[in-house]
Amino acid sequence: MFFEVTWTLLKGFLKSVELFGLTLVIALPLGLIISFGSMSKFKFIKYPVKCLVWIIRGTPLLLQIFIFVYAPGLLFDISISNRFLVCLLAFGLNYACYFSEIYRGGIESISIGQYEAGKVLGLSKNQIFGKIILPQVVKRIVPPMGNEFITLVKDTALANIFQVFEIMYMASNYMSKAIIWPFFYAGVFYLLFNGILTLLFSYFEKRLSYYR
Amino acid sequence: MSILEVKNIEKSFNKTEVLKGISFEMKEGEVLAIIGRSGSGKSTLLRCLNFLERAEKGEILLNGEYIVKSDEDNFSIYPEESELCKKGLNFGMVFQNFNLFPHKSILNNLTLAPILVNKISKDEAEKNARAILKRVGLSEKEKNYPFELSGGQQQRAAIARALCMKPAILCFDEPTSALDPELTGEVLKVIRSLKEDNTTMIVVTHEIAFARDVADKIMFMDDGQIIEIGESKEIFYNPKHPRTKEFMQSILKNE
Repeated sequence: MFFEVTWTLLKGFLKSVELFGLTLVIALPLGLIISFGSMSKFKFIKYPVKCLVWIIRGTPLLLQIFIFVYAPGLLFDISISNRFLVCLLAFGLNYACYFSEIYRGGIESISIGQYEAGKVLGLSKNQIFGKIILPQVVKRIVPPMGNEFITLVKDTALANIFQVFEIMYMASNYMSKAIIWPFFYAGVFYLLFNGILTLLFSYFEKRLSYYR
Repeated sequence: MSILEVKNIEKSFNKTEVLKGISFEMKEGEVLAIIGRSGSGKSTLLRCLNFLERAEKGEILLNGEYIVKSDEDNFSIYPEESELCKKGLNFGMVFQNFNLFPHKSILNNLTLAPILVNKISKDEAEKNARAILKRVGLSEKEKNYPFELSGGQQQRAAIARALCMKPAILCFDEPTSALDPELTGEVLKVIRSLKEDNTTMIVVTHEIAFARDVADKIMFMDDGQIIEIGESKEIFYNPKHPRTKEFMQSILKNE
């Protein structure tokens, strides 16, 4: 029984990790684009982007997944059968908005003198951003990003409501057979995975501590 | 021929006029010190020269060639960004707060721009950088990161970084203002040694004694205008304008 549950939960957890990983693939670059939008000189870009971030951060993720699941059907009469994909898109957009604010904070915390030093040395805008600003931003955002990553691991549990066969869904199947303990056992998977993430992030912080 | 000619530069921030028609010339190898109270426009002038700010009116010529030309109403016409960026390399800049890149070693601070902008090889860039580090007395620090250096050492590294781009004119914006008094000497010494090598320099400074000893010319600015410009000893010992006299007296009283 124990091995069967372990095997089932592990399969579910791999789905959770898949959702986690793919969300990052979407949200990490998309967040950077959104952060550029929210810092744009052009008001017609800046304010709509800021409004989007406000809406996404201001409403529950669960509600957003509902909208992603049902809106296409209600508005355009399209039914999307791939629930995993829909959840992934909702997660991706949600986390991109959170990341964008962390990026923005990081980018704006770099002193103007760094840009000016690059400029008087003849570096192009892209070189200044890529070689001078971004490496310093990465160091500053590692701790808050660690927080977000860990939150994301746990947020993937929301997908179980939409028939994504992730670990909580698997555990709740046992629940319907009046077996409760797999639920608590599922917690161990999260705990272990977040433990690994925590170690990884402290490793990164250490790697980046060669300068101040 | 003058290496630098500045004609009628005007600049304002939000309708506050900061520079009200600045004109001067410099010869190659000359050291010009710009002195004056805070808010007199000295730093803004320097920033207009290396294009960190754009003047609204006036012209800037380097070696007799227009970099910034003006139309009939004296409004400045700047070249395209890429062209301006190239021309800007003629002006090296040393900042009050050093602005070294904290994530790069001292050597990499020096080689970054020569490799990326001048497209020279890493080996050559490092060779040049080491020679310049030696000149400012930082040979031992090439592997260190800026935070591991004292303020004076950081500023010397920043001077070395500017020199690596071989600018025609080296500009200093209050290079010793962020330093503890006991550290200013080493930086001033480096600037002195550059003068001996005939480096053309513009130094915005509060170090009045330094200006007297090192500069060929002193420019006294007040309220966005040049009040007086001339031979440094002349300005220092025998200022003509009452405002220069007043400023010199207030400075000397404090020293």
